[in-house]
Amino acid sequence: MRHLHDLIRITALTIFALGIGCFTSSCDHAKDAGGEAAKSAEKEKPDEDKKPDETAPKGVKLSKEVRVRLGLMVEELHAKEFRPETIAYGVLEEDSASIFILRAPLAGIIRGDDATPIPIIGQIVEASTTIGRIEPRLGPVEFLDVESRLTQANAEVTEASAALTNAQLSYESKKKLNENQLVSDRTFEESDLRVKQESARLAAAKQVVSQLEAARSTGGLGIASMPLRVPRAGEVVECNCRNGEAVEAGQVLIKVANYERVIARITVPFGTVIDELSREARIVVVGNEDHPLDAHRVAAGISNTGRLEGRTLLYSVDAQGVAVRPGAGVTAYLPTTTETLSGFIVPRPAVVRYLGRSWVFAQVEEGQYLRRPIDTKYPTAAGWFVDSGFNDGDPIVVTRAAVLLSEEAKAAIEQEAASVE
Amino acid sequence: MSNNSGEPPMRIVPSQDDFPAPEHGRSSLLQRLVAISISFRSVVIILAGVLILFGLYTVQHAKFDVLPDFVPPQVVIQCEAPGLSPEQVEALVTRPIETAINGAGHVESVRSQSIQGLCVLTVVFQEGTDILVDRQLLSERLSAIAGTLPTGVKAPKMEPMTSGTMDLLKLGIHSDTASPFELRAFADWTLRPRLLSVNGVAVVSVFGGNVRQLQIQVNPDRLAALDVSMDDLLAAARNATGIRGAGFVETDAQRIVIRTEGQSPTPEELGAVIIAPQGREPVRIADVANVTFAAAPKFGDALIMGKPGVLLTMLSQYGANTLEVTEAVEQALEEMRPALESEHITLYPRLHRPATFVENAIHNINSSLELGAVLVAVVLFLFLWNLRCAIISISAIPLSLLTAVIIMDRFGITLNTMTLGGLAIAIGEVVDDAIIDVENIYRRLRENRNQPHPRHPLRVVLDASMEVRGAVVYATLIVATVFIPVLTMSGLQGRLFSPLGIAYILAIMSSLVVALTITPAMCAVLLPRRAEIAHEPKLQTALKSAYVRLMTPITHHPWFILFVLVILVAGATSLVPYFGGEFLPDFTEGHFVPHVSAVPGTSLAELRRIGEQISADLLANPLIATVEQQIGRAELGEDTFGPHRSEFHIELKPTSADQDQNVRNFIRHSLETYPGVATDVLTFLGDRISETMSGETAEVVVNVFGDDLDLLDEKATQVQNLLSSLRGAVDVQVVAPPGSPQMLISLRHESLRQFGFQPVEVLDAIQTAFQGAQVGEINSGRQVIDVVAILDESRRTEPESIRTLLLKNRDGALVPLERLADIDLTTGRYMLLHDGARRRQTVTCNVEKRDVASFVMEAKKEVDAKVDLPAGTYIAFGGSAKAREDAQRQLLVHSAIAILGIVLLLAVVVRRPSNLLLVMLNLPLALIGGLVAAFLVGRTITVGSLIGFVTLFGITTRNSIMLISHYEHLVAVEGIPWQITTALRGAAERLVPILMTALVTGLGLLPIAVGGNEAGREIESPMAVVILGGLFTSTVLNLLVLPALAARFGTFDPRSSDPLLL
Repeated sequence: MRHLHDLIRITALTIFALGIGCFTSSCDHAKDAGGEAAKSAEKEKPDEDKKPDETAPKGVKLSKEVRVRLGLMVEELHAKEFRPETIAYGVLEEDSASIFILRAPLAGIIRGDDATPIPIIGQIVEASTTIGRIEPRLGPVEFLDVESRLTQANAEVTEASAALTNAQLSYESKKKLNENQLVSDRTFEESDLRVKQESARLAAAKQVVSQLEAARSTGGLGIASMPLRVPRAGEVVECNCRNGEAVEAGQVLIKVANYERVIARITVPFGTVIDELSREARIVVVGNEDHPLDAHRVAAGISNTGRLEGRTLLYSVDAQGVAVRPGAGVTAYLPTTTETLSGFIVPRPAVVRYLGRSWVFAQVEEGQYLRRPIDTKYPTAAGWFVDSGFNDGDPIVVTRAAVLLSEEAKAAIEQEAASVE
Repeated sequence: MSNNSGEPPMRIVPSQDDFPAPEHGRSSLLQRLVAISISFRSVVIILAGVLILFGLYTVQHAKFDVLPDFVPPQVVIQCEAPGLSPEQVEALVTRPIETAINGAGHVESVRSQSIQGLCVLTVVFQEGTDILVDRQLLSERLSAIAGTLPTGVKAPKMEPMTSGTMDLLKLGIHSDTASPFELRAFADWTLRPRLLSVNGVAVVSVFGGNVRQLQIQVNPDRLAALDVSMDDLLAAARNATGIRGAGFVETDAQRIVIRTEGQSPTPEELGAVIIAPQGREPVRIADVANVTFAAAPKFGDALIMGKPGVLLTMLSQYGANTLEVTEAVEQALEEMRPALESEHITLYPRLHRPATFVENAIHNINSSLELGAVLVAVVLFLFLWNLRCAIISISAIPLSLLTAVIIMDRFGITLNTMTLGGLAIAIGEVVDDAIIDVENIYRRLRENRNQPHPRHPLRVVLDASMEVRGAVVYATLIVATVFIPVLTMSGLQGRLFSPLGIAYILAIMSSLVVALTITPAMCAVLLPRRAEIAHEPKLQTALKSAYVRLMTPITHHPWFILFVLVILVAGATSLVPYFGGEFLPDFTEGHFVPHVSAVPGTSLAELRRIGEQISADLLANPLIATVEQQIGRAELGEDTFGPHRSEFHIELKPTSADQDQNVRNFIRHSLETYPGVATDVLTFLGDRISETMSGETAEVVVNVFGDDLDLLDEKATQVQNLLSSLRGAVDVQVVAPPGSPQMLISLRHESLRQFGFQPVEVLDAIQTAFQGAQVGEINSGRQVIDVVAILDESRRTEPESIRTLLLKNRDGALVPLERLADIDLTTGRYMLLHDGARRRQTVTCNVEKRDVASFVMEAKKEVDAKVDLPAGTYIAFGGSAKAREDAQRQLLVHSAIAILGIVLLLAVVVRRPSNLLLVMLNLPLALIGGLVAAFLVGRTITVGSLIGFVTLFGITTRNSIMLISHYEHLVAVEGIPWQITTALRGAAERLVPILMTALVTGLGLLPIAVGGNEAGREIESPMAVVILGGLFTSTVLNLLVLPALAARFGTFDPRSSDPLLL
């Protein structure tokens, strides 16, 4: 019995202890639950105004200290004129108006001396410069021809002499007869005419013999040599003759070219838009990228170089002192618009890519920056040319733009978290 | 051997004449053990000495490490897919590999990360499997799939086996005169090979500097202008850099090797190589490209002390001794110092040195052990007032602990903060058995001396030992049993805490063996003939007298006592809701790992600029020794960080725990001032443990699973916003956020046909232009330098330039890429995550100024209420909170089972239900003190604290058992009737040993509890606080409450046999 009473008392005490513990615990939980209920009720309160638009730039604020620490720099945009260009490729060719080819007028031997030296490749010659002499010469066929003609001419002379002698004898005879009026005056006159004819024929035959003999000895011209002159100034780019070299008639002796002007055959790929009205272009020759040249469109080409699929345009290029040569590859910068555009050059470090677009951070006020989209279709050496979205003097961030982008993404989370609260 | 009393000498071999027959008519095993130990006491003592020497030797050569190997059996697989986008890697590489390995044996989970050009898979195997067998199974699967992956994708390879904590050492080099090329070359070709040759070093990764390449930087304008194709160029370059063997010429007498050298090793020589396209005038490589030595495209970079440099990260092999390997590496570095000085390179050898934490932790634990031992010795001497008794008792400490160390070493268990912590917590316990034994022997010898016919002292020693043997054995078994729940924990918590439990149990069981053998032997040698035994120490007399005066009124009011007890328990229980929960406390490593991440798509250069500024700010703190930053990832490294992500490693000068925390706050506040970056600050071990638990380095991990990437991103963003709105949330991040800018090139097949291109030709051209095509290698001394053709750098700085890339078809026609493909700037992902072959998006965060458990609870409620999940999409929480929840659940369940076992054990011991209940009273008594102590110290319950509670019950039960057993002895053996005076007498007689054991246990734990967050004590300190608090209340209440309640409710029958006599 005593033990039963003890057991009951112990059980009562245990239940009492558990009750105290549970009561104090439930008080705390109720307080927490009440707080959480109030919190969640507040959170559930609709607030349409706070709902964020995920795509709209949010802006970034930075204190001066942070800006200085980051080294964040801002520059103002200044209006610039820009003419968009597209790139095409081609090759340089000779301008036929700028070259002159001296050919041998006849077969002969080239002679050069101190007074008239034969030029070498690369030599600059003035207009009307005598570059040597050519001594005419008969070739074997010509010589044979002259000989046979000479033989024939000598035969002619012999025949004409014989005919003249015969005519003279006939004249003498007829004279006597005419004096005796045994022959008519007409007959006498005819014989006189025949003597004259035969005399003339003999003289001509003799002259032919004389000419043929002269040709045989002087190569046909009747002169020892003739000068070779270059009528146009320029650079000797080809020289195919040497002193004492035999050349044939029509053979190219030298080529003088003036590469101050060349032709660029440019192939514009299909689909590339250029300004058809504009005839000007910039040409950059391979190896001379630092010296772009001005070019002027002269014609449409008939065929392309075969390197690019597209249409061919011919541009006359003023070398402007740059050593250009036909065959050199060129890059052509062709304007795509007639008018120049007005806009601004955005430095490359200012541009960040995000959400499928390119952006810059514009300073809206001291320490506050807003992301603005830009179009990167006009590259320039200094950056990107943009023709809209900015005004002259607008400040943009030109360094550490990536940090601003990162900060904006981070701030967006905090703003949305705050709106959730 | 004779003695002064004239009795015949004690024979070495005991016979029945020497030992009286036990009351039960038989000699038990333990009795015979104790008797033999006494008889062969000299041998036993010598063996004890040998044991100590061997133990010290074992300690000198034991493996030391930071923590037990807490990483489950796992293998990391890497597969390089040069140039493929993350989406392509996921579809073409990651999925096939996952499919192939998912069916492999023992696989528990597979996590993967797909980034540009690389996929990394972490395969976790089931607990207890042999990692070597697991690797073999995996290797077979990988071999089968290697041939089926797309062209250009390299064969998947397994990373070397490394230790769980991975980092062995980080060192950096910097030079004011050497170029980044020279610095990197020195690191790659001189330093790294030397470090890899050190035994125990598994991997050396290199960050920073510039990897030298011989680059053919193609000018596409010149290529087009000179009508040369890329293929012609590549072929010419390959022919110029090829290496061929030439065989040998063998005469009758000699064999003469032919060596050919035909490479073009310099940029000038390579540039002069003729491309010689057919039908055109020869063009040299230099005519169409700039040939020069240049830097290879970088995936990562490093800053050393805020300046560009090269970082080398070493990982140790699986099972390697961290301290030994670190010392070997440092020795190797010392040998290389002349080479470094000749190159004018400054070496920073300790950017991160985990061995320092090991040394500090061990030092602190050793200090705690030494201090605890000293305190124990002082207490023993004060109470016993006898130096020999104190020596005998204290000898149990080294004997027990060293025995435990020997056993652990034999079984390959390392000495780490957990095992040493277990030994440190046991320091007070291991001496308890000896104290009880020595105290009882000492008292019985004193009483025997005062008898008119004293018995043989050795007989007294034996009987006194056996008198308390049963209680000691059962108490020790109970203390060991309470740790079984710790041993049975699974997962990370099991791997971390099991060694602690093993060390503790081994120490306790060793102390039991010592108490059964060595202690009686030493008592038999040192105690019997001392004259001072005749008198009880004055302190003991005074204490007993005061105790009896105090207890007399108390024992007459048992119900009042019980009522007060109930109120106290209720009060302690009401504190429970105020507690927070954490998995593990922060380690005081003297090292921090802040992560700094910008929006995906941010360049290496930008992160470097930020890093320089951050480094300068951090180095201004006088407590910070070194700062290094690693950006992105190393080539072939395990991390899949993009260039927008970086990790700092900050090593502190020797600091206290408070200074450590101050520096952490300083770092956090410094980082918060930097715009545009998400940051978190972890310790290295915290980072590794979190990563092991969930694959992420954060305390709270929320995984969103599904198939639709956009939907996953949307839901992850919602979760991110929700978490950010909660109190205490910091470092909230989406692990793999979208928004990484991409240029999408979609080939138009009709255009390809129109212009005469094959798709792969176009893709190859794009790859060569922007990624580079390796055409060969050249040798420069020891260095091997890649020869790579790539687009000119000026054309690779703007994505829009892709449009104008000229491609040449087989007919020689040139077509710009924009005619063949749609090229758009778009948004992609830099990383795609999988878990168990399912897509996931992960949100992580850390928690500040509140406990993780309550944060997670609140987060779960918010997510359930506000995040709408369509079919096929679901959310799972992970991280340390989940691990703590799992650990807590396991502990509670297993503890309940263990308590049941203890109850059964106690039932066998005490037999009477009323007496059993009296012993079980320890549970609430201990709970009161443990809860109050935890509340006063930090209001946070960690897994360590929970283990402390579990341990507490076992420790405090000992004293109750001792008291109850003594009551049994008084009634059953000495024939004293059970009444209040008997209860008072028994309690007074047990007062000294109870006080001593409690004080000794408490003082042994005091240095650890007071140590707080000092290195090596982070986990044990909360445990010790709980045990101390519970021990205090349990001891006080045991001495004040239990005798009164035993007098009222206890049942002691003089007719029953003493079941505790073994």
